[in-house]
Amino acid sequence: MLQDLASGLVIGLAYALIALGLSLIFGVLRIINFAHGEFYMLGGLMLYSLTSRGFSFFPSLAGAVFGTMVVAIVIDWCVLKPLRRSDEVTIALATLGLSIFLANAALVIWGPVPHQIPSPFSMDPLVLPGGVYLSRLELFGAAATLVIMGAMHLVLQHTSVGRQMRAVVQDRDAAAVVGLNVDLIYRVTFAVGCGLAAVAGGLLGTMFLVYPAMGLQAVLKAFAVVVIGGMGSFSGAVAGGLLLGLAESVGGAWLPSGYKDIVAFIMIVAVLALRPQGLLGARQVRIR
Amino acid sequence: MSRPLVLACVVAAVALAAGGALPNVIGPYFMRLVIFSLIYALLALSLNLTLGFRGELSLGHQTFFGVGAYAAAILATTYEWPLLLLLPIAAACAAITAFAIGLVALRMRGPYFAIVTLSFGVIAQILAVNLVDLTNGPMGISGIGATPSSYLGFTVPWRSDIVCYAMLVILVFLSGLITFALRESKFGRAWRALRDHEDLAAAIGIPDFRMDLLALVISAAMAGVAGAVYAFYTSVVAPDDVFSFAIVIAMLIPVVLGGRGTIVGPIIGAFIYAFAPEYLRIAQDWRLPIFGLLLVLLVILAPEGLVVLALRAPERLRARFRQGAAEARE
Amino acid sequence: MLFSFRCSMFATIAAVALTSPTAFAADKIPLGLVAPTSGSVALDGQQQVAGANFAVDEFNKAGGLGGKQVELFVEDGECKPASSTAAAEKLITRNEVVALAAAFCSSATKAVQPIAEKYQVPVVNGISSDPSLTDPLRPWFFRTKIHNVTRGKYYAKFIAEDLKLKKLAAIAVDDDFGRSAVTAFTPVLKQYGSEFVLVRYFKHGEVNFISLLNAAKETGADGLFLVGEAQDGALIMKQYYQLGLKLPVVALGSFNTPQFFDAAGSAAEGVYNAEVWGEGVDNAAAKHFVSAWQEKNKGYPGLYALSGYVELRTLLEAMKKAGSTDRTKLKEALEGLSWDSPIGTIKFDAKHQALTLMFVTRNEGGKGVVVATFDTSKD
Repeated sequence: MLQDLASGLVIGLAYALIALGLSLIFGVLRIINFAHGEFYMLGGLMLYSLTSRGFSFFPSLAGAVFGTMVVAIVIDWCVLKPLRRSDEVTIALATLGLSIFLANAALVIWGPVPHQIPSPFSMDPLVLPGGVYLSRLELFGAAATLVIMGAMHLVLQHTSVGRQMRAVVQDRDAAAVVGLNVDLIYRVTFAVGCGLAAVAGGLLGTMFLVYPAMGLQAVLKAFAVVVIGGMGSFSGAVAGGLLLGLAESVGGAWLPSGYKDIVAFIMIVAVLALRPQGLLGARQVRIR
Repeated sequence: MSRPLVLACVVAAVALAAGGALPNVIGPYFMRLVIFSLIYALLALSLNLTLGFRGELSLGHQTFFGVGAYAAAILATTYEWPLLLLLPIAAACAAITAFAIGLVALRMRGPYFAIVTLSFGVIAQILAVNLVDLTNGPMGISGIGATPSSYLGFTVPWRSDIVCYAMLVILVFLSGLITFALRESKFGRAWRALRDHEDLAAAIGIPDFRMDLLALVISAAMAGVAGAVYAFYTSVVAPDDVFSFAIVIAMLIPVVLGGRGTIVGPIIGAFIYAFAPEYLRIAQDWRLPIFGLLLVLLVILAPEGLVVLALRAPERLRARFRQGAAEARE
Repeated sequence: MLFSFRCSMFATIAAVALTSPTAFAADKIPLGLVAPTSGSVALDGQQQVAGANFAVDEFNKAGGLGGKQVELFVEDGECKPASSTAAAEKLITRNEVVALAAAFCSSATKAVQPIAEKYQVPVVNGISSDPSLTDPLRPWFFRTKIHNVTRGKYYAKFIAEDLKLKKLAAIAVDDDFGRSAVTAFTPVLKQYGSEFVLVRYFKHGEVNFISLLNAAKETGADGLFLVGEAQDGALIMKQYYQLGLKLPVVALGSFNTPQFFDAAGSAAEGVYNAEVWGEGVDNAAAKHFVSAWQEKNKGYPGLYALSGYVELRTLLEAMKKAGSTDRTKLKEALEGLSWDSPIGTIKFDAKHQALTLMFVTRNEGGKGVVVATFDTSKD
């Protein structure tokens, strides 16, 4: 039981990381990035490309994240900028189109066969009290996620960039009126959000496998997390991620096998039906 | 009857008549493509109702397609009922599913509606995989439509190309007709009002929730029927095939490509989507990325759809020509 | 004017759409292969393609059929029923193949069988293990691989008596292959006093087996029974070590293939597998095949390379025997065929099922070493 909890928490943190990027993008740009999973995928596949060419793991991870952020910037400039004032459905369609483009282009570039990324740590598991086994990679992943979340929190609360982001979240037009470069803030936020997804992609990709279709699974989990935790809420993403990871892990042990994945979606439907703004969401979801 | 209506009837009649000879002229491989185009056309028309007319992005229509397909598959393999009987049953099952989903999902707007409908799609897929006693799980149901039915001494092999083709032509024609009638009716006007000026429409008393539910249910019925024909034609249904996200893509691209809110647009879009891999043979692998890119470009540059743009082009050219001539005269 | 414009546009589209050359060079004999070259079984599927191509090249170099060369067309079945039927239909209607091999996974093969009957095209399979594929008889379907009931007869006995494992936890892929394995092995295990204390299934493409392995750990089983292919197998074994498990592992599937060793690395060590192939099979045909393969390719030919080879070679031998490419003659030739393959004599019984050798292997130092051999045709 303890093992299930531990494994669940580790995965849950990874979910939270992906969701964090999504939530950030929603909070500032007010769009739901349906292509978010593809940035997760790009992080993982770029990491594979770099490590398979002989570069060591951590520089490759940095390279993969950087590369993904570059792609994100280009996309924001070419696709999202012309649509800044468009309605939600139009933007949703655009990001869907991007998702289709990126996932299938990746299929052509990297091929359909899944790849393994060798872990930079030894395979010997660590034994924690209570008979809980964790791999060193899992521990690293969990720690890295916590560090990144902490860093994001600090940036948002205590730096000028963070203040500007929060200003745009509060009122985009007012922020423009007082002279903030809203367009630049959007671009930076989008890049950072996608970068977070890329980190998660690299970590989870190393734990399991990387392949072009991995984005779809990831974005579905990310949606579940932000819906449960509250779209646009930082702490909501963390709480939602942990909750989902735990629920899946415990559910995987008790439910008939195969129903593990259904947990996320039942939770989405339940939350949206009963408490649409999510556990910690402040933003009002338009309901009838 | 108006001109477009006459044209539609003529096209349908010709298509139906040609059906007898078509397989011999174009061969079984292309026949298969034509049939798939028609199935995609049905699906596109179905999504068009929600997306084009009502303006709601549903990413869950594969649920209705899958429910219709499985309903037909299960009943056909258990009781050997013929396709004709199963079409209304599939439509009804899909409609009921839509009603249930709509009660929850339609309380959301925009992207949230998209996320919820997507979630239901995934739930449906997982259920289909796990309710092995009902659906045979990941192994899928095969051998659908193996037995032909006999009516008045004629045997109708439900799985044959010609029969499926004929049924689909009729179904696409009827769906087009229904869609057209709905668009011109008070429902269509209400939907347009809700799409373009939501709050205003609600303010003047248009019952938005009920209108949305109606759009979703009718749309689902069409998708369900498409599913039933698909089940018979391919003789196999499996969860990761009929409930997959690829179906969503196959619906979305024809609708956006052809023109949301029009009737002919999605149909032509469906044919382009089905036939494209044959002609982009050099760029075969790049077909889907290109479609994705196309979707993005269309949304930014030509939201009314490529086909509609092309069909209206001669009018616009004529107008410009006339204008240029008029200016030259002055 | 709009009316006629639309009409002509439609007509042009239709005309362009419907005229297209079929892909069939008149002086080559087309054979087909439906294999999973993408998806979670892609690693193994690609090996099958390599083996099949090897057989065709060998045949062509030896002169083909009266001078005519064979051309192999491969379509991606993705190990899925719907994609495999589409692939089979394409091969038959577009490429007009004389015969084909399909479709790797039992569920996909099951879906392709009606297509064989519909078009009356011989289909050979050397990989699927679901017993029901050859029971009842399908006139146009032939299988060279022994199925799970046969395997259970020997392997379950080996597990219970030789390895002395009494309480097994089963983790199997959720499809006809995995499910028929569990169903077939349960009664035989019981016969020798063993049982499955846990049975869990995982979907194709699953990557996270921690919950399943943990559940197995907690049942107090004395052995792990795995059914899956290279990708799943490698992930399961890696996570097995991650959880500190030390149970003996007996498996069915790709667990002794080069792809598995590549993917699992040191986690592959010690795993038992029961298949129609292993390292060190020493009959004449096997030795010949292995050395010919190693001349052309690096490394030992794994299970699926061998399977692809056997599938196509069976079709080619039948074609040679019939002396023609007529499908009905080919079917009859297959029914009476007997040729010495690397896995024993391929001879089809009344249900078009062949009974060949079976090897239990144990992974040692990156090889699946044969520890026991059974001749299933002797019973």
